[in-house]
Amino acid sequence: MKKNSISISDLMPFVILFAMCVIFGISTHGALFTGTNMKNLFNQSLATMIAGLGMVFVSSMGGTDITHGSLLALATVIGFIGADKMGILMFIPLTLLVGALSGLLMGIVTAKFKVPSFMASLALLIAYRAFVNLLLKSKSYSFFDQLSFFDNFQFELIAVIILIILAIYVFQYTPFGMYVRGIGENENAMEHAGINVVKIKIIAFVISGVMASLAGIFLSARVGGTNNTLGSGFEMKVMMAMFIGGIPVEGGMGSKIHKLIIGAPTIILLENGLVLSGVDGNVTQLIRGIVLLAAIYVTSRINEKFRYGMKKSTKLSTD
Amino acid sequence: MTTTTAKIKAVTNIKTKSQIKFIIILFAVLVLCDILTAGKLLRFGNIVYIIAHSIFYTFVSWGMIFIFTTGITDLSIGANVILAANIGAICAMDLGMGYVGLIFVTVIAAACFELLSVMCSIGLRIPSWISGLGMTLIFEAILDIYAAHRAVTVGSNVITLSKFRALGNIPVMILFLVAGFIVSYILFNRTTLGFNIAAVGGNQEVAKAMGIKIKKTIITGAFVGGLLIGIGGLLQVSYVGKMYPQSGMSSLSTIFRSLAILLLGQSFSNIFTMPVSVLICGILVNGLFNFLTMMGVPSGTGQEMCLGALVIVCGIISHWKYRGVVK
Amino acid sequence: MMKDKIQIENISKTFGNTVANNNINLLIKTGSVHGLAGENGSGKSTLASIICGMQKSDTGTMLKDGLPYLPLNPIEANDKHVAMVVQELGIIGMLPPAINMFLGKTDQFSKSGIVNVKMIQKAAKEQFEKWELPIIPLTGVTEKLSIEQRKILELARALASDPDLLILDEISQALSQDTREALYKFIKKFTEQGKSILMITHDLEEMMKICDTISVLRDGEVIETKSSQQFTISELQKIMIGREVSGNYYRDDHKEDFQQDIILKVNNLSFGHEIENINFDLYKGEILGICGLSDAGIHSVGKVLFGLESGFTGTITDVVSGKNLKTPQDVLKVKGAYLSKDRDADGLMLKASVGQNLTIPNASLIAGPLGFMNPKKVRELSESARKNFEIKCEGVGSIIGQLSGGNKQKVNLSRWLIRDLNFIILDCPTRGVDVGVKAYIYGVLKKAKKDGIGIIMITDELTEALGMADRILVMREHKQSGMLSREKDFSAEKMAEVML
Repeated sequence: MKKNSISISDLMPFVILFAMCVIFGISTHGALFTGTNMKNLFNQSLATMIAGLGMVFVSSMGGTDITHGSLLALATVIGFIGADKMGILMFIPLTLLVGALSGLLMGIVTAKFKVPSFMASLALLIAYRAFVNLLLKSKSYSFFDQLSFFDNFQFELIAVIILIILAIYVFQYTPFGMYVRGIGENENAMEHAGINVVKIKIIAFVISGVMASLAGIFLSARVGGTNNTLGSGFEMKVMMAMFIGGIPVEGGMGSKIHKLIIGAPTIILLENGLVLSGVDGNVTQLIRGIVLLAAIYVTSRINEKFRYGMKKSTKLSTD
Repeated sequence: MTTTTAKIKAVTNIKTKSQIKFIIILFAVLVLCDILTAGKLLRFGNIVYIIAHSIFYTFVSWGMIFIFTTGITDLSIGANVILAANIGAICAMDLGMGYVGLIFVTVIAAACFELLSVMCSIGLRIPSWISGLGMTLIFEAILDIYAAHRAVTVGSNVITLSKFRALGNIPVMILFLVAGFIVSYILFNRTTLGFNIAAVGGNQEVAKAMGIKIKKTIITGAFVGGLLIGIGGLLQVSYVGKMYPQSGMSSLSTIFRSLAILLLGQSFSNIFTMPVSVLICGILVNGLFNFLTMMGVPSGTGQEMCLGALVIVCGIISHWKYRGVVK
Repeated sequence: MMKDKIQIENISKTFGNTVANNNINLLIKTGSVHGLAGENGSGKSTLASIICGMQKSDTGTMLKDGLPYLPLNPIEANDKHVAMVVQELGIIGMLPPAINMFLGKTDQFSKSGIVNVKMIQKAAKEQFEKWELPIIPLTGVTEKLSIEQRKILELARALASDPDLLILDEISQALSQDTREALYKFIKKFTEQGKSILMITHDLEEMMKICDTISVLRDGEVIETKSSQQFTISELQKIMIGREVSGNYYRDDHKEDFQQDIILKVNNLSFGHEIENINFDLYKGEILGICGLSDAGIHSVGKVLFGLESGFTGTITDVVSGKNLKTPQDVLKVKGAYLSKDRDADGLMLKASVGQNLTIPNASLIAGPLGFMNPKKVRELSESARKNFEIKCEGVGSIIGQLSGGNKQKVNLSRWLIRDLNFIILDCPTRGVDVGVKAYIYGVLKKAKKDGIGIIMITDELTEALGMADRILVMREHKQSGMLSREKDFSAEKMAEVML
């Protein structure tokens, strides 16, 4: 395999997206492709995409960060409370700070204390949501008029493009991006190469947390404020965006940002298409579960077969 | 001959010493908490209440022992047990199968669903935590779809068990708790399955070298674990009368308490064997939440935060000496 | 007239490039203790694992009590009354010792599904009493037992399958003197009953004392088999190690040849049970070998020097900067490097490409301003490494898992050597590598030496150390037992004396 050739695992997400467009284009009798709906799709996939750009760093190490839904609610709530007391200018920095601190906590618990990231992030998912309930007490906040440009289409488009470029830059063209993927491939080897694995893991989780809270700002702007249920179920959307795009669960070199960029609209398209086709909410969840399992299964098989082209019966030389 | 027995006895006494130490510390903490709640915590009625409430979670944790020990981190258990209990209720009420339907269908359905979930992970060769998430979505959705259908046909989307609630009586439940303890203890410490599960969880290479079939052990463990979880669901639906369908993965919160019990139990597994440890920790964790309620910490907020913090702390303790790679 | 318990004919086994066993012929007599001597890599453990069913030989036959014997797994071997106590501890910490003894066989003690634990404990106790083994607790968790107690448990476990051939692989090193005496008493009792023992030990005095017959293996072949009374220890040492060091495979000079400046000072280095009080200086342009038997602690020295083990005592000082090195990042900062002996587990990302394996560890070198890694520079680095080190692959994009052991090792090594280094710690640099690549690597090391790089070479292969090193630090039982100099002390005999 030449280095520059594009592998099947890179092309899969495009194929899947195309298939979805065809299926749902037909089943919705074209309603999928109206201008309003396309704009709707874009709006919905925006937050998922932004949070996903952060989560990709964690999953390429083989880890999981399932805190996103509750984290972005918590971050925005604290942002609103802070803005209430200290002025609007505090909203954005405070929100992002909460995301960063959460990432720091996740990183330390996972990298230093060796608690599996799945378990730790699940615990925080539950704890953060409870904390949100505690802080809000069934109040709700409305979004600031001064910051309403966050709901502006052009702004969103430019912001997302800049973030994507940044993410691709860090992920593919900096040592840090190489290290996170290397940790996913072989954490031991990275450690033996003298790379500070604990530090890298913590930074990756911080990025994931910050991006999640940033996504929360956009989400909150679109929804008009914040309440107890903001972001409920959001983390599943982000995970599905990644896995349906073909990012491997174990991380490693197969993790590529373009897979997320195609995967995010794909999952939104899937859900949107199902709704437009008149499918019930709970059937949608059923399909979501099946698609998740199928996507991961197909991705593992493709990676196994085409990435290292080794027959399963070949044993590596034993010493 | 006697020196052999004497020497063995001498070393075994160390274990009993740590057990005694644990009981003393526990006792001191309980007395302290009782003082803080002005004597309300350790009232007989309250203790019974705590134990009654812990039964569901304890049974689920016992089931988790047989599943998680071999390395399968399957959190679809929550959605599984809710689905199974509802199917049992349907069989009892709508299909007129009475107690027989309720008991057998709930327990066996739970076991079958668990089997399905584990075989999904093994068969598709994907990590168990993600296949668990996928199955959670699927199980939740199945119940949800039926509930929506039922709302249209019967008028309510919740399946209520209005008859056949005898198993929900507290004395009966406590009997079940004792029986469940005996069964879990025997299964884990006195059967080949229990030994093999510990072996597969401890060191797969050694287990294989001793002739243990890994896949068979994991699958059998899943079935047995599912049965125990099913019994928990059976008792819960008898006690409360219904088990609400959840969606959006909120069933994960349902069994999070059991996960905390399991992790806490693992930290004490050097002092007490797992089934015993789980029983004690089940009552402890529920007692903790009872204590929190009495101290004015509301559920839905403060209590869930404690739960999350508890799981993380227990996770840290149980991985304290671990030196390998953890994702 | 003693019959043959086991007859081994023409057994051969190859792993990739390494010939582990080459046409082994061996006879183990009934009621005798047969010792297997040989240095690391001589093929002892491979042969033992073939006999006990853990591996299958490529060619050859075995006869037990005159009947064909070809176990497919350890369980079958147990059924044929052959059992082995392996070197690496194989017990389940969570279970009680009595259960560990009968793991996998607990069904024998169960009635209608319930295992009678008291019966197992009784059966366990019986084994201990029958063979008069030192007492260990049989209840509670096995995790709490000491390493010595666990070894005895493993012995009891092997005995529980009622073997008439028992293989002991390096069992006594974990045992205290008292327990060793109990072990010897047991061995005597065992053989008096007409059963046989195959004993692998590096303690030559023990071997001479306990074994009736000794076979010496070297490079996968049986060199000599004689009754132990006909051997002397020095003869054993000589046969085990001595072989012609020929050609300019290695260095062709016989003097130490390094510069005056010291690069690294190591003082009183200790870590847990693994290493105790290691002291040495590494000179510029020196190749310092570190040798010893596998468990003497030599591999731990490498890990500790690189900072992979926290909690060591003593100091590792980089002379140029004056800094004490504590973490891998410290070592890299002072231009040091480390190559682990396990290249698949610790060195390479097997599913990634050759290029990725070369560039990712060196990412910080390629990175420019703002951390930008110019793809052209990335490609240049991997291409030039591939050319300079003659790595045989279809291109830097090929997946490294498909390469031969030798080429993998070239990638493993070159990703360090393309840097500007002051020193490098190598652990078994030519393990699992064919002769051609070995020679190539030695050439590379000779050049690095000339460039003034200090090289610490931890190796199991004594000839490699004798051939390449200026000085050799010898370790025995976790302590430093000598420092040999190329000019004065390099001979197989002197080496064996200090090492064994």
